[in-house]
Amino acid sequence: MGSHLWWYVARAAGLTAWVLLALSTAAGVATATRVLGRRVPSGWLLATHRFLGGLAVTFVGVHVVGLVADSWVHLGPLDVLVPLASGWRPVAVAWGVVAAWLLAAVELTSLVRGRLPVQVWRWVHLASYVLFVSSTLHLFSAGTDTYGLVIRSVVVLLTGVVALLTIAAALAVTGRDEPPVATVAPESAPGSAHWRDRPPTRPPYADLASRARTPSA
Amino acid sequence: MEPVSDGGRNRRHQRAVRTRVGAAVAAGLGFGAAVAGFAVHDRSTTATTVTTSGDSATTPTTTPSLDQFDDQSGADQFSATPGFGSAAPDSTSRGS
Repeated sequence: MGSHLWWYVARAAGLTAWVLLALSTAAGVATATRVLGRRVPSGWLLATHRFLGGLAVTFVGVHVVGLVADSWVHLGPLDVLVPLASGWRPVAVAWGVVAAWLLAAVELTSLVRGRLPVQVWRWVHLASYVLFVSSTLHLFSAGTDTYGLVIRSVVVLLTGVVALLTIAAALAVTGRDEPPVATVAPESAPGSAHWRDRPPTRPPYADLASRARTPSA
Repeated sequence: MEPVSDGGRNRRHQRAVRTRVGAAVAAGLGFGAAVAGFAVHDRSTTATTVTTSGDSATTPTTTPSLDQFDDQSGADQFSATPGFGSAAPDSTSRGS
């Protein structure tokens, strides 16, 4: 195991990062759409969304470091930072590179959210959908472990959950005649009708942050 | 500040902390289990197996190990190996 440890670490970290990313995306969309109703407190959901996102960044870092440190697929720093630079499955790796950059952009803009125009944060955050699709394509095209029944089942299940929540968010946007779904932290629901009708006039998450007492992510 | 508000805030804070700890532990355990699982799985697929083919011929076959791919080329050979999925290393420059 020792000689291939980095290879195992890279694979495991990639899978873990994708699961965390899927869960964070699901929590974020659920926060935006309030599809879970009052059963799940918005503050808790938002804090979970932010923490899972940060955790996903950590495991993406481990994934990248593991790939560079590993001597199996011979990926150098440029290969994992520049799309299509890899000599090994360039397109498959490029999906992952794009996803990693998008994740970095989403996380960084969230960290400095208070100093950014809301529209900028909003559009960058909407790139999370592209990020999720890109990372899923990377998982299936470059991933070496999606053939097992357990892993494949988890991936399909989580992808389905995110897809359903995204559809719910889309319906919330298009259902302009109905009352806004997001009644708490509309700033966290950039895709919601409530958000589009009444853009926030104060820093996003201001009320939830005071309630959840969570560090900004 | 009202005691009731403090109590509610504390409960929410504790719940958030429990969630974070639980998520971090679950992620760590999942990561560790995946590393161990890959190692065990790959080891099992590199083990020598004996299979029977044809009427009576017994043919010992060995699933190639990672190292043996040093002398082979092409993704097709590698992707056909159980346990390694679609990973196709560069056959000419593996270092370890």
